[in-house]
Amino acid sequence: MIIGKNSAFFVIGGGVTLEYALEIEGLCKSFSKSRFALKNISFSVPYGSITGFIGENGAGKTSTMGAILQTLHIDSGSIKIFGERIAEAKKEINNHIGVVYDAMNFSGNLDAIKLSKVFRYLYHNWDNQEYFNYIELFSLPKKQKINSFSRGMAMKLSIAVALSHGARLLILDEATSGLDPVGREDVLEALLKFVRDQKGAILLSSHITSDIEKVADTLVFIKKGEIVLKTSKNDLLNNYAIIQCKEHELNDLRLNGIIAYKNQTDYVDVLVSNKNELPAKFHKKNFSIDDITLLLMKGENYERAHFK
Amino acid sequence: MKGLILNNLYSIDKSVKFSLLISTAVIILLIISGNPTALKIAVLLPFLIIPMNAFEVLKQDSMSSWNKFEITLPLKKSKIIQSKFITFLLLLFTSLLLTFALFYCASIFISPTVMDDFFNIGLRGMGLMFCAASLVYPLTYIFGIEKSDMITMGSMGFAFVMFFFISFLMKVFIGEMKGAEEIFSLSFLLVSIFLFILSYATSVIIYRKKEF
Repeated sequence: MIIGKNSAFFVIGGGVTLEYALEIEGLCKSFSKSRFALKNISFSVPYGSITGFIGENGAGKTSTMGAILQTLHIDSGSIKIFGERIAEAKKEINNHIGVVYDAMNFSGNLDAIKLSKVFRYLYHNWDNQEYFNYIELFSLPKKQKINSFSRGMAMKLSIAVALSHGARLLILDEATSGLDPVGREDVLEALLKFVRDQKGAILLSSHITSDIEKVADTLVFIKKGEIVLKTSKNDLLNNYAIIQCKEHELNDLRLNGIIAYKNQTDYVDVLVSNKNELPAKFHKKNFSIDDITLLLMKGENYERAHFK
Repeated sequence: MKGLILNNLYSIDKSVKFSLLISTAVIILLIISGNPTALKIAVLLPFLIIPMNAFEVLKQDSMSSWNKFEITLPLKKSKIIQSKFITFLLLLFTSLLLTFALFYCASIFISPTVMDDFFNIGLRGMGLMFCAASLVYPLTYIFGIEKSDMITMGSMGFAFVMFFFISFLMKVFIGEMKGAEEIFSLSFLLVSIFLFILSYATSVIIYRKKEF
């Protein structure tokens, strides 16, 4: 699988080409009241893909999503959705974008039925039947005021809305947080179904990397406003490794593509992008996406530390 | 945009119903009292109570984070602002209808003279609210919802200052001629509507630059 940074297409093994639902190129955004900034963010989300957007609190996930959804004004760069550059004049495109933020975003005085009446007028392709199917699936009450919903119920309702208006791109910011295990399973299944026919794409940020590990096929890691790694999950699991070595041995791993490293008490954890042809003296550690996230977030960038 | 207006009304429906109930009760009591000053207050009061709920929409939007979500809808930002202003107009029109209906009934069943000052005072009531709204919206978008109570009070203060300022100008330029009261009421309403339209344009500009 090749993820072409500047290409408009996503090439999978046998040569099947799929257009990107979302393309971000050189996105920069600074904030007047903070030193934090998004720096040259570039990544793409192909149709049929769930892209996991991973980073610690304040890394820039929500800001990047804000830029995509135009709740923030960008300084430079380009954001294309369905091949079109986003603009205030092209808000019609939002009929096909489903959004779930990390908290409830609907007025607390409404209930699920009133909400459907509101959205019927707001989205061209609002599907009431689909919406109430999800309300049933997620076991949500229809006539209970939203302000009495638990966080999990609120997230499920937001997801039901996002999936009920013919969206082709879902932007989900911490959408699985606050869900109980059964609810989480239902939601993840619904997301997998959404991309199954290759007509939809999802950008999913979550602190719960196990959710991302379960459903995402592409991973984008962000740290302090910069993308530190983007790869496919298969590539990560098949070719990447966390190696434990002594600090003076770090140089011997250069050919294996050092992404990041972190000094521990008497050894160094190193993330390499090519575990094949690894010198025999090195010990590979079993890892999960959580371990990689930790290493990327807390560790040092090898290139930056040694060559800049 | 229909959906946005419906959402606005749903989010304040309880307080709107309560203000309608209170206004109705107070108008009836004041009409029954028969006092000329009480009748003037009865016309004015609903305009000062009912449309105030439209300002509450901004607070509700912010508290529920709907203001962040509505930007992601397939609607231009100017439509979002329009929906807030239309909600205000709907509530203002409701105040007019309620007051007119009650006074009309009173003119039939109690005394035809209760309607004497209705339009004159009604125009002033609407003028005051247009004037206040013209400040509430842009200022709330600039300073945020945390200062909304202060902004609402300040805007009401501004509306009364405008009222007395235009009244003063009318006295200077027109004096005590016949029909001066009606000319003043109409002039005040027209100035307020002009400020309200200006406020809409300003709010759109501010809102376009706003980040959530």
